[in-house]
Amino acid sequence: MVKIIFVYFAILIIASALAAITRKNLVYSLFWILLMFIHLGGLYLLLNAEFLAMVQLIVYAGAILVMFLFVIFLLNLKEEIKEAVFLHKWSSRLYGILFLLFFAFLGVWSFKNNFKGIYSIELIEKEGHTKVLGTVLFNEYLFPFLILGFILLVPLLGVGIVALRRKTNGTT
Amino acid sequence: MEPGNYIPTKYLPVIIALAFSTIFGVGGLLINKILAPKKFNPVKLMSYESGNLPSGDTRSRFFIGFFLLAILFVVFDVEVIFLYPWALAFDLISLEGFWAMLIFISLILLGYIYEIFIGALQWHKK
Amino acid sequence: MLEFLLMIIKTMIVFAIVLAHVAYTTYAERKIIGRAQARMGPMEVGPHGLLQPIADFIKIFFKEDIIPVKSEKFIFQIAPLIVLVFTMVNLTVIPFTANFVLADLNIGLLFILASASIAVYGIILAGWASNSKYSFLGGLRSASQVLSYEIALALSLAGVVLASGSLNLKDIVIAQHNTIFGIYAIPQIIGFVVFIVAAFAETNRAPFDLPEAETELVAGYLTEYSAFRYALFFLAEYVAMYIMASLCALCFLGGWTVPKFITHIFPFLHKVPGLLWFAIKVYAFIFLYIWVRATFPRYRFDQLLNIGWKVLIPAGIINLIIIAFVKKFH
Repeated sequence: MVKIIFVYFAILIIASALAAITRKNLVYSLFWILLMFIHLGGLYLLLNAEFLAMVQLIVYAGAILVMFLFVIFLLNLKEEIKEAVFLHKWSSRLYGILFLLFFAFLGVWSFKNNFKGIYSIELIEKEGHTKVLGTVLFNEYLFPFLILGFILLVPLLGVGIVALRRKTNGTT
Repeated sequence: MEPGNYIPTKYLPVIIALAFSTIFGVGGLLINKILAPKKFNPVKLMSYESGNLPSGDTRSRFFIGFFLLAILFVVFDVEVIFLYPWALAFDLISLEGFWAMLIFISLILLGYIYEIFIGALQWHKK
Repeated sequence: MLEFLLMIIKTMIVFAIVLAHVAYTTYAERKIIGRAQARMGPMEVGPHGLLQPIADFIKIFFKEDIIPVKSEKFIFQIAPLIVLVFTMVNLTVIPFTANFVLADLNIGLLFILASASIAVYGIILAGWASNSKYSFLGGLRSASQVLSYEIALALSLAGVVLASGSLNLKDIVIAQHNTIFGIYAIPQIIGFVVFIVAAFAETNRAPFDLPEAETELVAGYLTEYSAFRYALFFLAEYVAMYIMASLCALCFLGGWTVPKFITHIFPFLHKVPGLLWFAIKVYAFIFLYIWVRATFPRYRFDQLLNIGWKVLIPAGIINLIIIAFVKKFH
């Protein structure tokens, strides 16, 4: 039964990803990416990671994709230009095929081996995934968390610089 | 429970609710399509501009303030999302974890005060 | 199989009750705003106008559904459905009483935030798909408003989660019942006010209802919509009002419980069923919505964004830090 649900999610993710890269109109393409993110969230639910599913929807689909949408509006991109041939050089075609083969192999290999973390599913069911994630994050991975605080400071400074340039009309 | 065998059965009502709302919306639209008159009139189908004829390219200008707001929203959203695991695991985190989150919040507050100072969120030219 | 059927019937009952409430909220709004303006509101259809919502509902089906020629047809038709579906799906996680909740999710609160994040897309895509300058700008403005206040909403709810220690809405109410005051609105008064203001702005209601103002950008992203599609947007808005009212009642006002210090004074209050307390709190919040709409003038767009970013976010963070210090060093 789980396999049926997983196959549904997997097929829909791959299909919407393919639909997203082949649309001419960019907003339609973004709409398919939104569908893909919602199904990725569903995939996280199957893995007993409910907090990650919600974070996927709130941050990735709800914030970052909105930023993408605003970029499309800002640059006023009308349509994707269609070329006659997708990749020109023989070497890039070879690299593309090798890349796809590598990911197909990874997919089949992880499908056969079941990977397990150190926390058992019973513990996560009892305590709730968010609480376990919080304990692990703030007890063991404290330093990466502080580095993340600094990383989040960078876009704030970037926005400040753009706003400053806008106010002084390009002559910071 | 083996990994790879977990079905989130608690989410079934969510899928039922999704199905119901979609059926309600689409059903209402279909009934509307059947019952409504269809009188063709070219004026009705034009976009509305308070009496003028629609003019110009619809998306010629886009205020960059919207884009800056979207970037700020991403940063603050990520920060708020980190608050939730910290709030839940509050009793199990050592004192260092508590202060680490306070340092994180103060870093974001630093960036936030800088934003307000620089006036990134001003919507009209002074 | 039997449980599945039972779940479908329960969902249908909840949806039917909420839709009936939504229809009569439109009637209540017109009556209350009418009285606030020293007039009577609808009186024609049925006794005291009680059948007005039914008449409106039937009328909407007979209006012509105009799709502008220059619009993007597929997304124009999908956008109201996105908003409606992702607003109504929130109804499954709300516990109406101690035993009745459709989906007892362990992350109920984040689920509501997640579906609110996706419902924003309906607004932006509706504004864009109409392919008209007014609608596009109105859609962007409305979306920026919703995004700005989402952070304030999440911050005030983070304070509640910190105090109660769970994201499950039932556990939040039970944890609330066991504190001294009985409701979280008293120790977290700042968070409560932040939540109320953010709830007003999230549902695009007065005084933050710039998209619906007739004198500004006509009707914002709704300009090109007619008949049932227009009704779908408003249905979604009223259902969102009910979701916010239920969240307020559950997280800040005690849900289906009464604070213990009140039942010490009046012991007969134990016999009142929990559902009635929940309904009273939700109705009080809806009345607040309507009352504020009748009273306050509208905010300008930059004032709106200033409140969301410069006032509510520091207030939410201060609230959170106070609660954190109280909880850690108590």
